Amino acid sequence: MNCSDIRDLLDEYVDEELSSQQRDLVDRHISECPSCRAELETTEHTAGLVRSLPRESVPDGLAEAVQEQVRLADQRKRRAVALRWVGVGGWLAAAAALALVLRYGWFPPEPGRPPAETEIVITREEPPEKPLDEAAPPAPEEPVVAEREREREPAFPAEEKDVALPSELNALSEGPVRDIVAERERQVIEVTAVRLGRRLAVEDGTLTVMGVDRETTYAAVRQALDFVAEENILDERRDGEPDGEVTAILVTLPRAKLDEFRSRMAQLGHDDRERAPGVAPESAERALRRETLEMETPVTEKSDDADAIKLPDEVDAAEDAEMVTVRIELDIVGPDRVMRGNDVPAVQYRLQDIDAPEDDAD
Amino acid sequence: MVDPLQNEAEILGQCANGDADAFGQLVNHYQELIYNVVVRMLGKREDAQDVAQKVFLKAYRRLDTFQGESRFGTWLCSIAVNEAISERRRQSAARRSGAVPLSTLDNDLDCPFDPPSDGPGPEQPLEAEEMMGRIRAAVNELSDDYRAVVVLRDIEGLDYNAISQALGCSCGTIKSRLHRARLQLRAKLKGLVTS
Repeated sequence: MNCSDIRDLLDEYVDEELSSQQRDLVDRHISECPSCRAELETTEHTAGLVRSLPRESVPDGLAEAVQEQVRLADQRKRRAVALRWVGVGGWLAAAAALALVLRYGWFPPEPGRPPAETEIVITREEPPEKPLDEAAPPAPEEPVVAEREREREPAFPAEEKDVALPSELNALSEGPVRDIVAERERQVIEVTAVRLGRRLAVEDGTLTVMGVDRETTYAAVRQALDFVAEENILDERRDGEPDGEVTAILVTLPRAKLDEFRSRMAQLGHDDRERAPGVAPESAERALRRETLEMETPVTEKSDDADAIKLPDEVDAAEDAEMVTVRIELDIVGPDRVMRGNDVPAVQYRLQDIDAPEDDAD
Repeated sequence: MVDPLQNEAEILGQCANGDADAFGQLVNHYQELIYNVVVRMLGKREDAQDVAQKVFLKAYRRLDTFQGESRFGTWLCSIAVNEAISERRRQSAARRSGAVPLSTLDNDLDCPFDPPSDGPGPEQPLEAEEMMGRIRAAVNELSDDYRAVVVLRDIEGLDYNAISQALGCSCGTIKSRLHRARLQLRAKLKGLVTS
């Protein structure tokens, strides 16, 4: 073997990855070749310097913190399984859960102040006529929420921080709450968000946000976008396993309010790409792989449907206003996004009426 | 690399049946390994605890995907490397966007570690501490792929086969990356590396 062949083996020699036969070859060569011997010593020394770095001591409480997270994860899992068999009576609960956000608000942690660990669990009220142990699956055409009419009163106005919460929700909430509500067809998909330091984890891909009025809808959308951007940014998921990257948000609002919605979103720093064609798209190399979850049953509600959500401030003005569920497809969740004051991320998005024919503008 | 627990297969079976306490045994056993991988991959202690927690939580949720084709510790290392790289990139993007004051980050990079409590005392030469700082900085400046092989091989002592399992690359790729990483380290540590 010549010097070049030997040098190709030096790292493996240092790392003791060579067979005894190969090792003998290297030993024989370096005993006769000062140049390769020097190269070996340099390789050994380089590796030795890195290996000399002292070990880091594990901070106190790491294992306990993990155990607590595991316990919470188990709780959520059990609830999610149970909820699969619960008939959906949850629009009211969803709206009320959203009100939890309004009550507690969502604010980025103050600089220098460690954020509180927060668990969010959104669950549903169980209709009394459908006990948990009822084995039969829920009837597919059950009315969604009989009590919806009660929501004509904005029970949880955004300005009122100390409004009393329903006792059921109080019992379900553990500490300050940020809500993410997801729903697919008539089954509840429980989306939980666990605040881990400054990070959030999400276990599902599409978020549906609903507000009892416009303000709460905007607030929920903003929160969801913050959540999405924080969770998705530059996460290439090298392990190839989906872990909740969010690429779309569903928002239900009056069709007539779409422009106002865009305007408010722009105020929040989120641009509609279709309305801002000059905005450069993200670079291909930085683009994230997206997995847009498909909604098997698009949700479009008419206000003349007894079960449709009526935004309270819309009821008088447009009793027959058409409610539309738009899909906010997030176009930029990578490094091109803009961070603005208070770490509020901005994303570009494309609004798409999920009932409208698919267009390929993108 | 830390050896597996004696009854690790049994413990993993218990975990698969939802025994969170059994998983706690694994956490206790592997926390030192994972914390060190995360710290070296992040290049700083800050946030390492959060990321390490996330690693274990993710492992717990995905235990059903662990097929035993590698050692459990290797599998954990794989998650740790990925999580740390993701976190680093998040922070890097935030820095580029200006959300994090540059001065703060620069300080982090210049002095990513507190002086070790058991480090050299006043009677010992200051060069030892400076040398460690240079080595850390050199490792920290490597690309993600190169840093991962250096951390897993030279710091955690995984063999090539385990590293290839953890990083999902062939052994040949691992050898190549390690060789190039060491060449870069040699250049960065010029003056420290004797030849």
